[in-house]
Amino acid sequence: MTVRPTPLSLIVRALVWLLLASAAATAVFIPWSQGRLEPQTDLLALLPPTERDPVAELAVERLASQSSGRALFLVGAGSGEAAASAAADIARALRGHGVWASVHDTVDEFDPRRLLDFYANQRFALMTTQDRRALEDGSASLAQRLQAKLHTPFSWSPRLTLDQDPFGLADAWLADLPQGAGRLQVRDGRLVAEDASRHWVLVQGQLAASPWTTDTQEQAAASLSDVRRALQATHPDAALLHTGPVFYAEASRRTAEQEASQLGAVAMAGTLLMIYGLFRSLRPVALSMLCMGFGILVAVAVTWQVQGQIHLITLVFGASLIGESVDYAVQYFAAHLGAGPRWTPEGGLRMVGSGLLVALSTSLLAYGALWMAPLPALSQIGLFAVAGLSAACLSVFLLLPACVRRPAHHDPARMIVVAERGLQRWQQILHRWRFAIIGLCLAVALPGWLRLEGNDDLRQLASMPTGLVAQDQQIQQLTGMGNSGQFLLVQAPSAQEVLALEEALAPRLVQLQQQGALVAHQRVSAFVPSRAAQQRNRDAWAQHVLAPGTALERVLDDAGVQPVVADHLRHGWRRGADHPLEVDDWLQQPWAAPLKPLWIGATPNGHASVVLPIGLKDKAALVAAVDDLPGVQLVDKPASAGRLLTEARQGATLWLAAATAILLALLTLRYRPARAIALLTPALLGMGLTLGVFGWLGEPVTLPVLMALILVLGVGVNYPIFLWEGSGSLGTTLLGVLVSSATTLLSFGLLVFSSMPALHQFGLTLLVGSTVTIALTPLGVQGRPSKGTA
Amino acid sequence: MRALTVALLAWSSAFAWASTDLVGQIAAQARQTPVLRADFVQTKTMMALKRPLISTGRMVLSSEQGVVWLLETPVRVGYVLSDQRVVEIDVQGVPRVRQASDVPGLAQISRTFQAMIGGNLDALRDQFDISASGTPARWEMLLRPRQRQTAAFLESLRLAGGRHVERITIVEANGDTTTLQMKNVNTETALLRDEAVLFQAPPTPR
Repeated sequence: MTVRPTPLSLIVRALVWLLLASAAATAVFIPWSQGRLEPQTDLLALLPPTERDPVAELAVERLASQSSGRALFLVGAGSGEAAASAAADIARALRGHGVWASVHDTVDEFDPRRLLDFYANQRFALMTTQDRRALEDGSASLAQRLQAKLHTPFSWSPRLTLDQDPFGLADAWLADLPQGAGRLQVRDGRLVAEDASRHWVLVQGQLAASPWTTDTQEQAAASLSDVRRALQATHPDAALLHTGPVFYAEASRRTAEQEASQLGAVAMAGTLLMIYGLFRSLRPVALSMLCMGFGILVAVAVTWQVQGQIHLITLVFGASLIGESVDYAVQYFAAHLGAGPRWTPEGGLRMVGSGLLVALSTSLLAYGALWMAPLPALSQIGLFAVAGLSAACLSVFLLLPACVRRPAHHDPARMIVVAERGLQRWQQILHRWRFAIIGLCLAVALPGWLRLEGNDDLRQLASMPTGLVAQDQQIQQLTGMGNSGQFLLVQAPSAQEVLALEEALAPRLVQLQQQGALVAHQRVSAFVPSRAAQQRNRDAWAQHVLAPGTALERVLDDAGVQPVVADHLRHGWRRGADHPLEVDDWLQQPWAAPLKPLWIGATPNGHASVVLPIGLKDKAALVAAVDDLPGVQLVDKPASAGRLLTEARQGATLWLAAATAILLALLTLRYRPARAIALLTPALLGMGLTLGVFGWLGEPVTLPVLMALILVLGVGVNYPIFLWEGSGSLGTTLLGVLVSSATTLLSFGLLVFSSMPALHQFGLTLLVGSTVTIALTPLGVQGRPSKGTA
Repeated sequence: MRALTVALLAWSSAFAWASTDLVGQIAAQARQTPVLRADFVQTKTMMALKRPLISTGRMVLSSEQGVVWLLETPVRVGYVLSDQRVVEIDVQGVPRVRQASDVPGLAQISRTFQAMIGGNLDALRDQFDISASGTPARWEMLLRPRQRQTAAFLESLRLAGGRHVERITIVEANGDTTTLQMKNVNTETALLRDEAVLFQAPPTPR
């Protein structure tokens, strides 16, 4: 056998491939070396904006980002002192790690003077609604209020001096300020809680950097183990609970990376073994690896360039793409094997080229449909696959011809004979029983279809580490701190109207609290009354206390108060006119920090703020209570996301039908209509039976399932096409198809083991669907004219 | 105001111990008292007042439940202070409840207060420097706040007494002084029924 020198065109092609590979490698290497190429662990990024109102979306983001860097640690021990000392140890251990910007095990002893200093000048504008009404209708007795102020033995809320507020009006307003901390109490400067068996102390940590970076996550996890070790040494029987977005992100990332590498390793090993088993030569194995590697590299580079982030779910899915990307190369090698001594690289391409392109286009159609999915999580998978498969196919055209020049030595005659015989027998069985088989499929599937249920839970898209979830729930129970994801968005043209709207909302919320539908609420207007409210209060002072006819001086004198106090009051009232209380001043106070995110401020539509319900038990009652207040809406991100998923799922069903039609149209471009339908039949039966099986197993039909069915269609139709188009012997094509389908099944089957429900469902759909499709493939190639023998 | 709360703490914390043995002995005396009843006369001298303000009332201190403070003249207001809540009964007899979880300082005050009664004196010692003189039968104590925040409004506390505290003098940072004189001090083992009722959770919220 003489081998002609490699034609220039083949070398050029191979060089082009090399160029593309280097470009892709650079595109991936640069961000990776800069540490920017990190998987996206923020779950909110998996969702598109769910709210129709962009201001609502902004509010959700603000509230989320305020809490995203926070972590809570709850340490429990048998006694309050042990818990306090354990908390101090924990805080000390945590502070030793630079990943935490601040760690608080104590709360600043609430310094009432800061509050008083802020509000003192405006004390005439501060009054509870009941007190103002009592002044206006004359039922308030100034003398009695003065006596109460003089004789009260103690006060637990900040009080102004006798000189500043002799009638305790501002005092009463200050006492009403919501200062609570959920179910926690302040004891000896720490936030504590108690349950049946333990005393708990809260330690709060704030991260120095974003919780979504791998570095921060690993350091946070390391600091946690350090803390546990320290605690074990000093307080062996203390319990430690922890929660925080950084821990969830770290666990998801670790799980995803583990899965990706485990699945990837098994898929690659299995795939390469099968390739070796068929071709008995290392060259196909090595070249397949190159094609696979190129495919994945290009996929990562393209996804990163286009979307700027890679989700964890894409990472794990990418590992399973290995089996499919190798299909194209396997077809080429199969043709090589079958051609024997008559092999030429260009001839090989001619043999399999059109088949490969048809197969690629059906896959691209299917994954392209996924790319159009409304969920960034799923759409990224589509983009990844489109790029990866195109690149893998391109490798076959560019790289393989230059590397596979020599004809094959391995004579697969025996395997071919076995395969061809097996195929023929199987084909005969299928052909004879084809109506029975179709009927059986329908019969089995139909009852299953009737039992199908949908499921649009957001939690499908991520793996929830059960240990963390359990601790989170326990912490919520003990402290009352937790995100419910629901809040009221208040919008109005100006900031003052927002405050006034909140004040109109407040009595309704108080009523809900009395009915038990709500435990408490937080609003900015509780701390900064609207200017209108401040003016009403000042007018009440002017008309009913300071005016000449009110006998202010007599009341003061009777109680033994110096007359100069009256002058101070009038003077103070006049001074307060200059500068009413403003939200901007309040926002700058350090003690206002926890509530700052509630004030959204200026938006494209005007101004907005958030009123936060706490301990919401009856959502319907809240919605009803705000129904007739224009500008107030309940924002419920989890519910919105669920609605979005439902809409997406319903849309996907239509997509499935559309994809089938488009695929049919595509196939009729090349084949006769009858043949096109025949080629599609195995995939259609596969889809139907998969749905049936899901129904029988009680697995829900979710958006990932529907998207996977589109894949079953697009990928499942490849095998009949390969068989139909395969020139050269049927046998080698068949072997190639067998290996291809085996590697695909392996890869998708491995997805079933993923801890992310979405990928598990994806994998199960593909496994069942592809198995049925592959088994029934011969049904689609009935009457294939034989094109020569081995 | 705040000063008087601290006074109440100090009053029962007359049994707080310092490094001296005397305070330890006084503390030991106090631990044997589950319930304490007394009448008081309160005299307030304030710069804003033309003349000192005098009020009278009575109080009940229970080591388990908390304290009831009933002012009788010149105005009738009452306070029931316990671990979980404070009930303020105004001149019309309307009770107003505040839960400890709603009010940051409250539980701290109750706790320290009751820690005194329970004999856990470390908390008070954390907040005040205590020096005592005299004998267990006739003693005087001076308490100066350690924390800057407390010292900002309270200058000192002076206690005097024998078997029980008899006089408390609170000197505030701005010069205002309050003196509490205890009379008819009785120790009991149990609360009366209508006193115990006061510590029950009141029926309706505001």
